Amino acid sequence: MLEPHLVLGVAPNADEATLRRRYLERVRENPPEQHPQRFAEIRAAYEQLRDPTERLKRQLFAVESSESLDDVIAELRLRVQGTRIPTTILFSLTGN
Amino acid sequence: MASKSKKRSKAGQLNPVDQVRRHLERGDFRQALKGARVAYRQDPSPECRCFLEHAYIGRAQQLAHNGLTEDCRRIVRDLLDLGVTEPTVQSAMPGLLLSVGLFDRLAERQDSLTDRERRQIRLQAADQAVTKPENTPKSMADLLGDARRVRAALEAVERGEDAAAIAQLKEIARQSLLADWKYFVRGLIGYYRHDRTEMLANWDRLDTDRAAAKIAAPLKVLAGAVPAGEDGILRAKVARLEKQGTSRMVLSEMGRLRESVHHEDWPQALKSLRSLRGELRSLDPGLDRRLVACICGMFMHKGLVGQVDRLGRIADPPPLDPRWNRAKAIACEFAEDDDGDSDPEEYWRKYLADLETVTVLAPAERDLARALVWLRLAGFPAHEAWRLRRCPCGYDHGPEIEEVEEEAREAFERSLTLAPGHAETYKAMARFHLQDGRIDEAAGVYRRMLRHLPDSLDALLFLGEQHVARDEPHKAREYADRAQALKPLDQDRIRDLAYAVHLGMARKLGLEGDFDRAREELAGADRLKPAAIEDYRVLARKAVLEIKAGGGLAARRLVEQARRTLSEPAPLWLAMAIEARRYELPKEETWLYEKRWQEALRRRCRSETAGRMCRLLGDFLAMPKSYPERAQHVAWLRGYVRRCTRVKWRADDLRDVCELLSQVESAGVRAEFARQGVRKFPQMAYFHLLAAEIEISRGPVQGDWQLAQDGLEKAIELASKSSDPRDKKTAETAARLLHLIETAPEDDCEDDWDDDSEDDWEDDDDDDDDDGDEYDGRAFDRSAFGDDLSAARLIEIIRRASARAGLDPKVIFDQLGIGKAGAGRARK
Repeated sequence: MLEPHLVLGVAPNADEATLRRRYLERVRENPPEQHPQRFAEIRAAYEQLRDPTERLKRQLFAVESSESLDDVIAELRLRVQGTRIPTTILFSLTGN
Repeated sequence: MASKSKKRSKAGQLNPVDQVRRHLERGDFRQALKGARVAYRQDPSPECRCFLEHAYIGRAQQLAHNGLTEDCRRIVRDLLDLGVTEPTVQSAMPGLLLSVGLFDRLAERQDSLTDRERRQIRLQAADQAVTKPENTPKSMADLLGDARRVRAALEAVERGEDAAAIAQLKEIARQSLLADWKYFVRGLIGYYRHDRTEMLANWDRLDTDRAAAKIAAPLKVLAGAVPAGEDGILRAKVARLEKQGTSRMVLSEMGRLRESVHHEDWPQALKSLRSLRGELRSLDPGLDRRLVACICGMFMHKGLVGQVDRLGRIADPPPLDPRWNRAKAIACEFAEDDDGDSDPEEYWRKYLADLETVTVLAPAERDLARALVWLRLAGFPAHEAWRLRRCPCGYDHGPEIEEVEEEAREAFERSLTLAPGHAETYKAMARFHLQDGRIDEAAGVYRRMLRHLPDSLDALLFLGEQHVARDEPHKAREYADRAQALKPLDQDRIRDLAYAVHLGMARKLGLEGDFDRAREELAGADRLKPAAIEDYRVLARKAVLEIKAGGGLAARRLVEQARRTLSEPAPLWLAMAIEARRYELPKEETWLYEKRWQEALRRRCRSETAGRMCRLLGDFLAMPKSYPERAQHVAWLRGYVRRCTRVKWRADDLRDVCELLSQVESAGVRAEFARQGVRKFPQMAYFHLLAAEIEISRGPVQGDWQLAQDGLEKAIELASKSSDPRDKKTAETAARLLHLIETAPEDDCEDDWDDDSEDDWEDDDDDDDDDGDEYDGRAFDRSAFGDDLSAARLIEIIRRASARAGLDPKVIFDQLGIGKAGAGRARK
């Protein structure tokens, strides 16, 4: 089974409000009448994530980082991409 | 120096034209122009003129590219003065003239241009009107209006005013030569918004020969939409942009880090990490922490304790793990090698000390964290105790078991002191007791749990089940009712408990003579009867109650009814015999059913009958409280089962028979059935497990442990695919046994030997000049047993051999002259 935060699609350190919002979204996407198995997984993941003891347990004993190197690279790419480039620099790229 | 002069002399041998050609080929236009001028002066042939024109245009383009516009203009004027005759040079001229602002010279050439060339020049002029408006020829002043709008839009984007930028673009007509720039600006907004679709939808429409496409190309690489490939110019542009976003080429370095990780080149990965960290920290300290967490996670998962240590030297520790002890502990747990540097317990203990000073946790969280670590620590000795108890080496591990169990108890207690409301600790502690059959102690743990967690379903059910097993249905009912009041989602266990309570109460009431209430209880049990319980068992119980109540006719009817549900009566007579004993029927009644059962047992063996009887008696064997003559019933049933070796078995029946035999330790016939099970039902995980268990129980000398290992692996594989709920336990048991034999009990036990032998024996290995071991002043010649045979190993072999032969090893040790060391070990 997937890590609970992956089931809900939240960051491992997401706060209570984010968890709740994302949980409700996922439940709306997977209503229990149509996807009982999926709903049960989402419910179990939510229960786990919002339990402070479980959260602490994950922090203490989780083996792998909740995100991959690619996630960090993607984030970094977004940061670099987010920086507005001066027009003069853009024009300097027109040469061969 | 010598090589340089050599080169010069070699170049000096070439004629001037060849030298020019060579310079042109190398892209050294400065030297090419110099040489071509000289060559043309010496020989004004068409060939020299051609070279001279190419040298001029190459040099001019080079200067324009480097932004040396004035120098470029001078060269272009010289070229125009010379006159352009070469077609390729002619075609390059308009663009060059435009880019250096020689519009008058361009106008002079307008007539000689084709329509296509004119359009190209206008497009180039349009781009230049945006990028270098001062160079726009007056004849193309119509472009300046739109170009101004494009510039304004780009400047608005730079300020982050995307809406204003879009508004500027609305004025530019679709047919405008600057329409390309509209797409570029829209794509650029998409780029900054991380909207890849919008970005590509616009940028994919750009004319690849135009300036906008040349700007978009490195941006697309930066956004990860296309790879940079081998294009050096493009890579250089990407690097320039990267430095714009950060102060270094962070993305490229990250790519290198990813490569190193992919190839598990950890020193290189750590080197990349070290060079990246400063930049990442300045960008966002969170990114740095996340990257370190990623790398650390990989090291932990791969069990690389040393790499965690090295990481600790270059990276800041996570706030929750200030000295990296947590990471090292986890890495040790994953480490495959069992060297001295991989003791997770040691690091967890160090981490406990770290936790006292961790500031990211509130005091209550800190206590809980320490409790969780103590719980983790308890797991190691608890597992070791389990392993030692099952160690097939034959040595008495009693003192070690006592020691590790005490260690486990202490760790559990420390955990509970810090977090008395943590349910998992109680459950783990109860499991620790149950793994070695200490049911009372487990019950004590669950009772303690209920004091802190009165709504613990696990505790209520366990205690309820224990009271049922102890024939205390009144007490069990209290727990069952409390569990029922919690209304848990999983009702199965509660239903099973309530069913068992009804049965227990019915018997109690029956024995007390309150038959009406006993019947009510049995009716209650009927409503909750698990599907696996066959009707004949229910009917037999009711019949016995009726006999007890004096209702012979009703009892006979029930027995008849039960008889009709079975193909053979043997299981019914067994059920009647058991219940007659449990309900304390008069002896003659009890004997009657036992006699009928014995007669039925004399018939030909059948799979279905054997399986049914083993299931029935197995349920009563699992109860700690026996009923009178249970042992006798087991003995009779074993006698029947022993005759079943040639039966055409059904898989479930054979499994039930084997499960019963496992409880009564009938090794010989069980081994035969295990063999049959593996052969006839190779898809059933249970038989592979059973065969492996039997193999392991024969010890490392007699048993084929490789075979056992294969069997266990097969059992785990099959159990993981099985839908039989019993196979969950099969998989667990197989996994634990596999771990048991993989942790090489021989080695561990030898370690014990070696530890002991330090006191008793002179060092075997260092005593090379002596061909014997010595103990207690008596030499022991081991040469007869080969050089590789240590004294400890020899004693072990003798001990095992004597155990197999049923001899007292002490006698053999004395005869061999080993003395009291051997005897001591023999006692062990």
